Amino acid sequence: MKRFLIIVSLMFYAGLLMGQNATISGYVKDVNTGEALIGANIYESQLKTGTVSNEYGFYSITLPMDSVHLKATYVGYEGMEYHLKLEEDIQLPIQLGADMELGEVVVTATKADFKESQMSAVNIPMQKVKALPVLLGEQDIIKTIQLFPGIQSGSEGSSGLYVRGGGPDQNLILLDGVPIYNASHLFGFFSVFNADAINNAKIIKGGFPAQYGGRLSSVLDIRMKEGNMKKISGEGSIGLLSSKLAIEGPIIKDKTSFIVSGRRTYIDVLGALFTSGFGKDGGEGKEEDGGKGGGSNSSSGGYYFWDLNAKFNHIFSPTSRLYVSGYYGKDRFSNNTTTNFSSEGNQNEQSIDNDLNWGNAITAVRWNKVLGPKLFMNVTGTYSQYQFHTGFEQEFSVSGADTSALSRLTSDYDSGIRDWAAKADFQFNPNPRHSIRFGLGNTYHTFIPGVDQQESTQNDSTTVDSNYSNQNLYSHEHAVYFEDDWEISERLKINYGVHFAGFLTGDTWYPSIQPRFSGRFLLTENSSVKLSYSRMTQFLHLLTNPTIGLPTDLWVPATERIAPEYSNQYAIGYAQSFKNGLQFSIEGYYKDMSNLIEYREGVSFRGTSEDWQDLVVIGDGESYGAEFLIEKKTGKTTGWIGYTLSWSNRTFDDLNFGETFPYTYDRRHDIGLAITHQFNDNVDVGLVWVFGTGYPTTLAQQTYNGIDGVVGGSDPNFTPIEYIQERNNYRIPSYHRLDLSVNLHKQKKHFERTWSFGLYNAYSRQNPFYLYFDYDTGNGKGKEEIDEDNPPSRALYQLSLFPLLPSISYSIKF
Amino acid sequence: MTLLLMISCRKEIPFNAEEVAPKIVVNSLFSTDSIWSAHIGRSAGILDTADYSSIPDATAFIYDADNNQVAELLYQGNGLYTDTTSMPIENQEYRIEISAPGFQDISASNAIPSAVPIIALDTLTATNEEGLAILQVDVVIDDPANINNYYLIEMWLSGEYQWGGITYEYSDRMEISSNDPYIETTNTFDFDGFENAYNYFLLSDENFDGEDYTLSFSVINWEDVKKDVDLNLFGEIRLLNSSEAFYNYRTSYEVYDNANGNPFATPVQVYSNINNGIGIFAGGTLTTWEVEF
Repeated sequence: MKRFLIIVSLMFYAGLLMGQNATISGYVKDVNTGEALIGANIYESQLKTGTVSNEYGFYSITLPMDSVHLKATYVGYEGMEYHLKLEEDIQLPIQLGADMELGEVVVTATKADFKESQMSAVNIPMQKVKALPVLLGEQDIIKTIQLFPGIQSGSEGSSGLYVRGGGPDQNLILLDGVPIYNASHLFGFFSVFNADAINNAKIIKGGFPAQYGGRLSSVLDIRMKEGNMKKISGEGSIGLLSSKLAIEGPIIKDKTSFIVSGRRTYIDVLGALFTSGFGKDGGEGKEEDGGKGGGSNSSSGGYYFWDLNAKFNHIFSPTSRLYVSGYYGKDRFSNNTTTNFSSEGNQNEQSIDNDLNWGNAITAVRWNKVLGPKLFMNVTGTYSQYQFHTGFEQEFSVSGADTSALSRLTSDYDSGIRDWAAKADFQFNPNPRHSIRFGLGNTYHTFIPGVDQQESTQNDSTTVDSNYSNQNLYSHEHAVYFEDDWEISERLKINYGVHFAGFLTGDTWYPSIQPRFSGRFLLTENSSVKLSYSRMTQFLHLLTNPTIGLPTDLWVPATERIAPEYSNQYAIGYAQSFKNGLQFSIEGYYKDMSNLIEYREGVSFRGTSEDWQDLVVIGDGESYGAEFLIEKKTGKTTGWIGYTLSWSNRTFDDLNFGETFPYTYDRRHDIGLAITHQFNDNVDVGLVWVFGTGYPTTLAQQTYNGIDGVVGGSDPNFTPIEYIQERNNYRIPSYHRLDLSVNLHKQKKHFERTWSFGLYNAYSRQNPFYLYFDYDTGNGKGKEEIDEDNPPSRALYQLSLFPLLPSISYSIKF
Repeated sequence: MTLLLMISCRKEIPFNAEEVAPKIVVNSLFSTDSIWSAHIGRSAGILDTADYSSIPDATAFIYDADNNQVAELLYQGNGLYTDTTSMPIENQEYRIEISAPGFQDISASNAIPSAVPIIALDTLTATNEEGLAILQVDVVIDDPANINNYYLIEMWLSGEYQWGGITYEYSDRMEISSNDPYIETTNTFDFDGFENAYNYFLLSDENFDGEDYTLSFSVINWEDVKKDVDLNLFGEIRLLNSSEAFYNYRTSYEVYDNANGNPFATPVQVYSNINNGIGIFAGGTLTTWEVEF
């Protein structure tokens, strides 16, 4: 460790002592909106050295005091060149304009991934998110990410992320640097991210830079738009499922801007219209069964979700800027039925209310400060909350001439997680060969692992008031990191660092030192080999149902009994860029994971008051595989095809009798194809095709008579038992699907409108969602009552969710 | 979700496991106070709706640790095979080998652990919070040291009584309740306000190896039992010191039974110690202690 510090110090001073140098720094922005351009290349063409703008658009490059030929490029934008005589430190704001002739963009305008020391990372092209076909026309960044190799969706239509054999809890999903704990709407079919509010997104699957920590398998870093600094603009759309609107603009031109983006579904409204003719029953007053009659009933309710993104930013000076951003979203399902009837001269009313809702709320305040031409600081304070609630209320009243009574029964369940966090991040570029990041932070977690409340009231007098709960858990998670992206020579570039984290839970403190390394070696001008190693620690666990992702999934901390999760990931890869704009990469990886948790056998996802720690078992996992990706980022036809060959296994002492078994989302072959083609300014089309071998599931293959008696019993009872030889012993059928879309754009006088038409599952493949055994009764719907003396034959059935689903949406941009 | 279910569709798909061959199923729980016996049958495909059939033409032999044949089990009907010429003894490792036409040969090994004595028993009649009479029982077990022991403990009400001039045999297992921290909770249920009710306790000596261990419990339905006591019935504590195989089978079966039919429950595998087959071949020793009321 001492030697490591000496080397770092020497590098630091070497940078300072390199005389006759000066630094050019500033922000890279979109010339029309003032939006920061993240990951723009700034390249000195004579020295063949360069840098990249950070997540706030800031760049810094130190060069010899001489004539400088600086070139700034960004995908989809016209490059800019600056020729200047560098005699002292200067600030150089760079403003790039969108390229109006994308087909003519030269290859050098693309970001050359093969040159980066980072591997196993994908920058998500936001324009592609909007152009590709999606389920019910809802643009969804997560669905686009799922098309890249090494990333799987889980079950049909899900917006889950399963990265390199990891679980859904092992992804650090950051929105403007703030963790999102449940990124799903509508029971997992859509993500919470509104594409209109997103500026940039990047997912990292391995070779994690030291700045990131807290999850084992991936980092999804999503940055919201900042708001147009030049003029008021906006976009909105009306689709089958939802409508959305985003407005942005300057409050003080070039100083202060805002963006507000909202979305809401109208399934509930359409549902109410649809059922309005059926939901009310006039209730003919028939006297039945003891004089009951004069009845009527009504029902209401439905499902909806909404979300709102808002961001405000203010430029105090060229070196100081403040951001305030927030996300608020909620899903709600409710149902109310009221029944009125008369009985024995009394008027009775019974009402039943069911309510299920969940949502995230996050807020972040950031302050960017350029402390010097080479040193950039970002200080952040954040709040993040996820809440889940389900409630039930039943009320029964009787009123008559001689009697009046009221009884009420309520039941509520609440769970969630709440974070307060503060951190400071620094970026120091002492010279073009080093880009150093370091920082520290602390998060205060409050876990609410399930509170049950029941209350029974009779005539305003509470008779039963019970409360069953797991105690709230409090913990501190803190981290310090250092990393250096070091170009040792023209051919060799490495990123090394360490992430030190600690987790204080109860009286237990879990420290964790996590070394990180990634490097690339240029083989030719257009190709490189890369390798990486990452050790990751995850202090949080997710109690999740193994079959479907539900909002009931519960985040819980590492405790004295349940240790944090750890992983080691090794990856090696080859990347090449071709002159026609194609980029090719292949990567192999191996990842081991320890202290994973699963529900123990026979546990249901709810309906138990047991301590959650008694419901889980602890084990290990490993995954390995190879990923191939061919991308075309420029030209009229763009897209990618990815292929993954992978294995993912788990070993738990208390599951499968200690034998290793395939992970629930182990998928041997996975293909994702995404293509868009722009015919002209008015018409573009998109195509997505996915294929995946079936996931393993646990199905009994035989039954037998087991003994239900005691040792030595002379006449034991026998009972049928379904025999499961191994966990996850059966592969469900393969999954494949074709989606198509057409976007028709037209520039109107005040706005641009787009009609989007889509076909999800164009050839209506019946993909498996759930398998089960049932009796074959010939009507395809099973049978309620089985004649045990002459039972019908049984068969394996598959439930499929989405057949061919057309979609249409209308959107405007102004 | 209702909308999704409305648009979803179901179809029959081929079940690729249909070619899985049926296996021999054997259920044999043996102890020192009973003859050798085993129920031998066959498994059925999961889609097979016919009854489980027994195998009448199997050959079954028991061997000791020195590979000497100690018993030949002969078919008695209804899947039952017995040997009346010998009885198992404690701490002897036995192996059963079964073959039947059309099936793969199977085998399994197990032993009977030594009896574990009950060295003391104390009862006390009390009243619970709801004013009902309960019987509190303290049982002290002399747990042997340096041996893994697995216990199944029950309480029975037994005896004979007269009714209408006729003598009836009576035997009924009582519901019992305990908060002992070492009892497996897989077979617990709620019963009239008792959260930790059981038909029997399963516990291992992992946490009290070699100690005199006191297990405290209550007889839940004592209020009803009292009426039967007037019929001169008596209580009986039954302590089974079982092999690990039986304990694994029993605990996994309880988990299976609780989860059976719940589509949201995680899958449960019932333990089997039969090589190439399914079932259980396990020994145990029963100790009883009569309780005078």
